[in-house]
Amino acid sequence: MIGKAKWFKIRKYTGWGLTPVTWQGWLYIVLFVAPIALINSISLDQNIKNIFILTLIALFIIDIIHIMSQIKKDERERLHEAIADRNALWFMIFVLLIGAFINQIVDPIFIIAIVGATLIRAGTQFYLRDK
Amino acid sequence: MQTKIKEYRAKLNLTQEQLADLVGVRRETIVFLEQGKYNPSLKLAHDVAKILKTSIDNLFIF
Repeated sequence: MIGKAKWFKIRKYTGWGLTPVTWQGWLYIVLFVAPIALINSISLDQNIKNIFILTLIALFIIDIIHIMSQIKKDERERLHEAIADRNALWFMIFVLLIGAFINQIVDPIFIIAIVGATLIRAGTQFYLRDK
Repeated sequence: MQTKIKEYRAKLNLTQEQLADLVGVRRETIVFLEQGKYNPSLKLAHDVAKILKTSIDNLFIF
């Protein structure tokens, strides 16, 4: 993997993901963003451009997930993050339900999301039962 | 909840940062523990008590 955990910290107050805390972290971001901008600006076949860009984005996402898994959090931080994520999730569900009610639309994706969330919740409870 | 962590830590000349490193948490967690504002897991309470060479009963007053 490319990035190192010590270059970043987990975002707390400005959404999800990572924030660079060292110059290496900022350089890492630039080194991923600059080639994407460069490929976009040169005249190449759009399909070739898309392959390059999607490869870079996939590599970036995999590396970010790896970095996030390497950042150590203590029990208090884990608890706070879990409560914050739960509250954010409930807000999202509430707004989506209100939106669906107002617009009188029952989108299949919305149903899949709700059913999927229920299954993931049940699976998590089952997994944690004996922990 | 009240704690005597600060008192025991001072006896051993440990800083909050050192204690945090020894038990594997952030310094902020030790700060909130000392202020009685964070209810730790049994494992963390045990680890802190062990490092401070005392028992959980002596350290935490409920």
